[in-house]
Parts: sequence; structure tokens; C-alpha cells
Amino acid sequence: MSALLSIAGLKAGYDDAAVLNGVSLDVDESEVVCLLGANGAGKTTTMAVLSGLISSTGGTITYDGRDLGQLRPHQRVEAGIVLAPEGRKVFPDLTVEENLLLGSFTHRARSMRAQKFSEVYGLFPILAERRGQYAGLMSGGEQQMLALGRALMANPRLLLLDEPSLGLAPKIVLTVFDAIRRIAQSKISILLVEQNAYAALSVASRGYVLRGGVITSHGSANRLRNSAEVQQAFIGRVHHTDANVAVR
Amino acid sequence: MPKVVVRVFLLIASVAFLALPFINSPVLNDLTFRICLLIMVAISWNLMANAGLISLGHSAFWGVGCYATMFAANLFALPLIIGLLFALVAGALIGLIFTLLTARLRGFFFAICTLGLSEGLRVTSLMLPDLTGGAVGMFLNQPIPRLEVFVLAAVGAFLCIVFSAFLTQTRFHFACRGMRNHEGAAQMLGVDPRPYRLAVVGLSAAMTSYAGGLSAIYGAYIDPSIAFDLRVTVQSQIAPIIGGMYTVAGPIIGAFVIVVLADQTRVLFGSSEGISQLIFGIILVLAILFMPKGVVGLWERWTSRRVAGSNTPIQHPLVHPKVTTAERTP
Repeated sequence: MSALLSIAGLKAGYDDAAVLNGVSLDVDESEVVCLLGANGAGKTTTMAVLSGLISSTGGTITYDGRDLGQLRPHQRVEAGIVLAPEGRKVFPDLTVEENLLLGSFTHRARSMRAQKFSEVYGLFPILAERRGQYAGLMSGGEQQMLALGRALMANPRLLLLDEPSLGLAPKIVLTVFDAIRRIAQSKISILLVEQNAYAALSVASRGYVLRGGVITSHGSANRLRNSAEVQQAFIGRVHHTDANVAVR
Repeated sequence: MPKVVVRVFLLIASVAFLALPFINSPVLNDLTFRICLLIMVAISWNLMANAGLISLGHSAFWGVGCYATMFAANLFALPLIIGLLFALVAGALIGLIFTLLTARLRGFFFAICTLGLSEGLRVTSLMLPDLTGGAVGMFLNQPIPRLEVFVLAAVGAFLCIVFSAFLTQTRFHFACRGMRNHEGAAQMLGVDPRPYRLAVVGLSAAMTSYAGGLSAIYGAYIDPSIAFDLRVTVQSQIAPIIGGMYTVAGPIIGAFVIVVLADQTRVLFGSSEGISQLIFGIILVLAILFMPKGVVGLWERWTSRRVAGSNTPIQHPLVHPKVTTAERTP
């Protein structure tokens, strides 16, 4: 079976600073894949290239059997690649409902608007409660739920999640990852970028480890969880119980 | 207040406004004329601000309108109404070209460029005396149709108001607000900022150009410092800020407040040089200090709509009506 998203030898950077030095990874149809890495490894850059915000300097990105090449960001959204950006980036001056409305901006999403609204409000009932409220006045956790909901409104086929746990209390991280698990059941493919390796591996079926702009290892979530590299770099050597799932 | 009452009131108000020129009182006409021009300019500035494009150069578009109208009337001996169409087109063109040239600029950098545009055009028009008359300026060599000018100003202001109210119901408006809040995030949802930027600046520039053209006809004389007067730039911003930025009513209320306030301070304190302007300035500073969201913001606070977690959420017309609370629960 050919992958939905296939990246081969991807290179990218900012001006003279090369960040990605040949990243290769695959995401299959309705699969959750996580990309782990420390600060500065190139995780967010990978996301920026995938969503078209910055252009690559080498390598290929194949999505649904065609080369993404120089497709502009809005065209990628129209094709079903939707990014929920790092740090949430909700529209603070817009209400919750207006934020979600903007999520269904594309042709692809518009006809599905009513259905997506009920899906998102079902997934995050708090958003339905707060739908008349300005997004800027919500807590970090609620804003993250809104960012996820807004991305879902775009009717994605491939959802790119950049650090959904960033800056959230451990309890909220559990809620957010629970939601991601439920999104994954609806046949949407997810590429998840995380520093919180344990939480990421709990929802993903496979994972890749990014270091200095190259993939240093990959495998099933189980294998990565027990691998020395991941243990050492991201989880720490202590023995784990479910109690510290959310604690980095 | 029920919506019907508001609508009926607005209808009567606008009919009365359009009828004002026919009463033919010179003082009233002059006042409404200046209010109408400022309404157009303020709406135009607010339109750009709403998309996150802060302009410090609306006098550029104003001046382009002034000269376009004058050229059409004097150089080509065209009727004044054609001159105003020239102003619309020339304004839009300048806006579009400027937007293409500054495509990659955001925030302060964009704002500074707009200021540069208006000053640059002023100096350019000063240095082309064969065309613009240079510092000597140029006189309109046609009689001024007073009544028509007043009516065209009222109609222009009316259309701008209707247009800006209509825009709030469109995807266009949402895309602009998204761009203002976070351009990158808007792009991630499939908004391509380029066409929206072009459309916003083009429309905004055309509105201000039209107002400038009318003022050139009304004054029957322009020179570079009148056409590219920084006062237009300043007033275009103050009116929406006083009235309430990013709202439909804000620029309109602001235009009324500014024109009437400037007149009244001049009438009351005009005896000693500069005092009236000082008082006008102090009132503006206090207004911005105590009502950062303008008159509209004050009104909303009193009527306290959109309270956090309100039980009466605003049902937006763009939301599919079929979504009910029952469907929303899992």
C-alpha cells in the first residue's frame, strides 16, 4: 500500500542556516505517526515545509500520489493538508464560533460545515458552551482545543499537529491527547510533532526521531518507547508508570 | 432595541441625509459635505485596518483623486462626473500597484511605506510644474455645480456605509479579520492573503480618491500641499479610533464627532489663536484614554453584549442553520 504522505530526502532552512538535512518519512492512510525531537531538531521546520509556509531546498514530498512541489499554502489546505500550528495561534479578536467558521474557509470544507460543527462541538463540548466568547479570553487548554477544532473544520485528510501539549498543564495534556485519539478513529491521518515523547507515543502507531535535521531512528511506537535512544533523550531513564504519562 | 426599529431608524436617517442638500442652507451643506467626505475616508481607512494594514498615507490616495479629477476637467475638458470616475480608477490603480510593490511588508514596515507614498507623491507633483502647476497649483476651469457636488458626496458616503455593512456578512470580511489576527494561521486554514490584500487596498484607495476628487471640485483649486495634506491621513485614523475601530458604525460616528467637535471648538474658543486646536486636541486625547474602543465600545459595554460565557451566544448568519444544540451533544 502506498503511503498518503511520503517525504524523501527533504532539505530546508532559513537563509544560510540549514535546518533539515535530508528527512524521510511516510504517513499511511488513517495512521497516526509521531515525529519526536528536542529543541532545534527541525520538527517545526518540517511542519512549515509540509504546509508550504517555507519552501524546501531539496528532496520530494509526495501526497496522495502527486508531488506537492511548490503548491502554495492555501492550495495544500484545499488538498486536505491542514496544520494546527505550534502555540495554538487562535484569532483572539474573533469569537470561538467565528474562529471555527474561518476553519471551514476552503471549498473543500464549506459543504461539510454543518457536519463538522457538530463533530467539533461533540469532541469539545466546552467550545459549544463558549461559542460566543472571544478566543483571546480563553485559557491555554481551551485555546488548544479551539486550534484543534478549527483545524478539523477544514475537513482535513492529513492533520499536522505541531506541539499540541506546549505549555499546557498535565491534566489538560491528557484531555487533548484523548481528543487526538478520537480524531484518529475518524480515519484522518495525523502527523504529530512532540517533545512530550511519552504522550505522543501513546497515541501514535509509529514514530520517527529527528536529531540535527536527520531521522536517527524510527519504528513502531512500542519499539521506540523501549529504545535506549528515546529513553535517554526524551523520557529519562526512570521506570514509567501510567501516572507520569503526561509529565515530560 | 429590536432590529426592525434600528433598521427603520437607519432608513429614515439616510433618506434625511440624502435630502439635506435640497434644503439648500449653505452652512448645513458645508457641514454635511465635510462629514460625508470624512465618512468615506474613515470607512476606507477602517477597511484596511480591519485587514491588519495600518495606513499612515491616506492623503496619498486623496491627492491622487484630487489630481485625477483636475486633469480630467482641465486637460481633457471632460465633465466633472467623468473626472470623479477617473479619481476612482486612478485611486484603485495606485492602491493596487502600491500593494504589489509592498507585498512582503507587514506591520510597521508597511505603515512607513504608506507614509512614504504620500510624501513621495507630494514631492513628485511639486516637481512636475508643467503638469500640475507645481507650487502655484491649478484652478478648476469649469463652473462648480454646488448641488451636484453635495449630492454626490452624500451618495458616496451612503454607498460606502452600505458597502461596509454588506462586507461584514461575507467571507471576505472573515478572511480580513483572520489576516489581522494572525496571517500565518489564516494561511493554514486555506486563506490566500494576496488577493485579499490587493482587493482591500484597491477598494480603500478608490473610496478615498473619490472623496479627494469631490474636495478638489468643491475647493476649485489644488496645489501639492493641499492635495497631499497630512491632515487627511490624521483624520482618516482619528475618526475610526474615536468611533470604534473594526466596526461598521465606528467610522461614521467618528466622522460626525470629529467634524462637529472641530467646528464647535473653533466657534467657542476661536477668539485666541491656537486655543481652539489645543482644546480639540485635549478632547481627542481624553477620548482615546477613556474609551480605547471608541464610542461603539462604550455602547457595547453599557449594553454588555458578548459577555464571557453568555447564555445568549451570537448566532452568526454564516453558520448553517441546521446545527442545533441537540445535534451538538455527542
